[in-house]
Amino acid sequence: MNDAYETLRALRRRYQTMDYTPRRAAVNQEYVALADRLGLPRERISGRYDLAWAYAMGDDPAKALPVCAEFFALWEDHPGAVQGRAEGPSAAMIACYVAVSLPQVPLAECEKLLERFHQQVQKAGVGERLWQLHACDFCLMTGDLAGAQVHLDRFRATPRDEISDCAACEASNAAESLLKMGRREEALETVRPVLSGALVCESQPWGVLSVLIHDALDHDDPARALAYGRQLARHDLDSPSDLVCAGALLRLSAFTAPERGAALLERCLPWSFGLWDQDLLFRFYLGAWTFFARLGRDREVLTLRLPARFPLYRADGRYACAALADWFYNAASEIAGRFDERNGYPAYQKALDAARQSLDRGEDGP
Amino acid sequence: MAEQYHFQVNLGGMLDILSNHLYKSPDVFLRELLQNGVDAVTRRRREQPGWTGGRLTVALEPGRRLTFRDNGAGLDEAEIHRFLAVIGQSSKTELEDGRIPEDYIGRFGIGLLSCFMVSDSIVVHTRPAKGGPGHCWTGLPDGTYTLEPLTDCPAGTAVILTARSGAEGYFQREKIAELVRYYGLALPVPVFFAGETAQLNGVPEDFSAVSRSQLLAFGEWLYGETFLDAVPIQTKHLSGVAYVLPYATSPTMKTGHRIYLKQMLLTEQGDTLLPPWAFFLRCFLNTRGLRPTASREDFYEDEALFRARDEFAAAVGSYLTALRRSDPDRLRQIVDIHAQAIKAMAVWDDGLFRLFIDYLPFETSEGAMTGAALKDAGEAYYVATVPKFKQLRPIFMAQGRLLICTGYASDGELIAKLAADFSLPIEPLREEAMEGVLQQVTPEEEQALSGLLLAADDALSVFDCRSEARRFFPGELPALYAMSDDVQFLRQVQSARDLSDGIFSDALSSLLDSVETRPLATLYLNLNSPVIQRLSRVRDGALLRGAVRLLYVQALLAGGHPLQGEELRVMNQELLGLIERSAGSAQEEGVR
Repeated sequence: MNDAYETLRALRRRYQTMDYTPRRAAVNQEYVALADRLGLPRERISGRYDLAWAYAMGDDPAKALPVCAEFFALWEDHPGAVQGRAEGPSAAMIACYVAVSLPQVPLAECEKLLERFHQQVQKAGVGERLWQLHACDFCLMTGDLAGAQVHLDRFRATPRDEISDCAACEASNAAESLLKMGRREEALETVRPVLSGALVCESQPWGVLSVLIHDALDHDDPARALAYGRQLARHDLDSPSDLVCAGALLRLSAFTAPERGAALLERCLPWSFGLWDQDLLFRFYLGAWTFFARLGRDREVLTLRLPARFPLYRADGRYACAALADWFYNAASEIAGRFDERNGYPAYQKALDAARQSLDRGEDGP
Repeated sequence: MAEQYHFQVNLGGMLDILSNHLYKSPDVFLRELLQNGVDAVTRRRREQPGWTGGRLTVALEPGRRLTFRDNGAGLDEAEIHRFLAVIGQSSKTELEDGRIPEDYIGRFGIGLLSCFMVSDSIVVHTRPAKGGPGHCWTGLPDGTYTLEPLTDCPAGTAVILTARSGAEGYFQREKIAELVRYYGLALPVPVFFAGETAQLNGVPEDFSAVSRSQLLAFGEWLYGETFLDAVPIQTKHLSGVAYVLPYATSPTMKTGHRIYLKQMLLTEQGDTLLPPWAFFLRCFLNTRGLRPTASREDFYEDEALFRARDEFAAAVGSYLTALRRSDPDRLRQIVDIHAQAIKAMAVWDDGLFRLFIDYLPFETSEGAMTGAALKDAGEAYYVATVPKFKQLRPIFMAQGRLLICTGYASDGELIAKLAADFSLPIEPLREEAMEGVLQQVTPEEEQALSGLLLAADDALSVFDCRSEARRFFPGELPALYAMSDDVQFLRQVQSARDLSDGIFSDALSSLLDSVETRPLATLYLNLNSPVIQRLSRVRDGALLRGAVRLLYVQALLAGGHPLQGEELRVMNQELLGLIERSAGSAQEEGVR
């Protein structure tokens, strides 16, 4: 029995020192399974809290949803087992963030999860600033620009607290919201400290660079996209949550370095298999579609080593660019349709249209 | 303005707290005496640059009295009142801009009181080395003290203790020698018995300059063990030796380190300072620049501690890296004995991974194979649980395919890294791969089994599982359960939904409902199994249904999958049904 407790402690020490990747999630899963077997309420709950973060940050975020549900159910059964005040709001935030990335979850349920997140914030007395930014994003997802502005103002007026996102993530997320509101200059100003390296973290500037690459290409500014791409290329892509970055780099590399783009696709495509997070998939598929569509203008066939699980798999490795472009476009389009229908607002279709227009403008590469 | 009051402190109660709660054993009284003595010598060295004569002596009347003397700075009358009479006041706490100088050991000003654990009084004879009269201070456990002038007193301080009833054992020569070596082996000030020349303590300051054979001899003297190897450690925060144990150990084993802070023993536990994989080492380490806890029995976890831990890891890593070139046989011997610890190290450090992976053993369907052998083994699969591996091993053996077990600590990460870094065709075993691993049955056999398969599909549909007929070895294994990542995720969603209510239950239900075609797990029925062959001839639908459901649950358990509520219920129900049926048959036999 003592060995089991020691193993439990060793597993925790181990995963706490790892980067957020599927490997960390696997070690964390092992911890949860052992805590369950030992029947330790505190460890079962804290292990799930950590596991939800591990899935959200470095694996398939969708996997965090059942984990958050179990976290709250166990917490209800063992109210004294959670000591800190950050856990409730943070777990509710993860659940809400994951649900909006799953078009299968109806909007009304996403709204309830957002409300629950706010209830946890009010109960714990921390997280108001974090919640306001999520509420802003939620409004943008449904096309409610006025509501988004209200929450953005409240976000700015609320002081930071112990569970606020780090300054780099806050600036990046606010900039992304501003871009969705069409305020590009303000967005670029907001994110300037992140791009200059004054504010960095594990997730940034990589996440915001991906957004900015799409934005620059959508707005016919290839030079700016290329500058962002050079920065983003320094990021080591090592988990499914990096599919966002992979999508942006793929879109860009059709113009700049097709071979590097092909290698990137070979590396990242396996992460997309069985992935439940539809937003990640959409962003990856959009990048892959534009990559092959643009590449298809110069060459008909590309040799790639793709896994046998890929529906268009060919043993000889010779793929028609047009066929690949069609496949990725259809996959992206299908996801866009499901999101837009759920949200009652065509944000995803608009992203596809903007990329299409950028392609149609012709030789617009950097 | 509010009036100020002072807490009333019950010294007797304080002493009880110190002796029964703060300190683990009365042994520490000697540690505190050593510490005060060294600090007094250090203070005199600072006050009188060029003076190098520091020494500590212990005079004994066995079983009765102990006089512990230092020839350090000594105290004047004002300092006696201030430092010996106020708990929490240390003579070292007000130096150098409020910071304790690096070469001072103590800080809390409560150490002397620990002497009351072995003595009914504490008598201190002291005279300042800088000049001035001597004094005799006598403190009693009731919190009172007296102070008298002392004419015949050398410079420095002598602490005189008289054995309490029951503490006589601490006033014996062997015990004192043992405690001096235990606590003060690495002290920078020599310790002697009064009138003798043999030093009781003393080790080298820089271990990197000592030969391997000398280090091993020192380790043998210190620990009474012949170690496999000795790794000298010399870094900014650490100085000493890490000895490689000559036998395999587990992470839970307490290895009895000797970890000193500024040459004074702090702890035998390495949990705080050393990396978790260091359980195969026994360390003799002196530390610098780290902070002790109040009880002086461990370190504060701060940035300096983390740096020291990294330095330790780097020093061990560098040594082993060099060993690969200088003495590969010894390295192989170390790996053979301590594979588990080295695997844990290799997971943490890319350099160590590259260094060790060729030597490290992994459990496979073909027995233990090293990383080097796996590099040449061609296509292989791995499974993450030991039960699953045990279930599949005979199947893979029969097929001549290679299966690796990654159910042990660190193996999963190492195998995945091995495959990625060396581009090897080693993959996790997914459900799809099972199709290629298990032997197909002929159309005739399929036809013969169709009744059983139909009954099985019907019985298992509630578990999102279908059946397939295959042949595999061993024949004693009637069924094998395999599920894809999707099935696994949906099982977790379902389980979480059953556990939750309200909004989470709704959201998870929506997720489940959105799956148009539920991915199904597969129960492979083994046509080589006599049980399956007999079941294929059974026409009793209820019996078939019950048997298949039991096979399903048994295959889940054999594969290490946790059972969900409905599966537990089915197991109980079907087992009872079978017992009833058997009992009924037996009764009918009896009637006949």
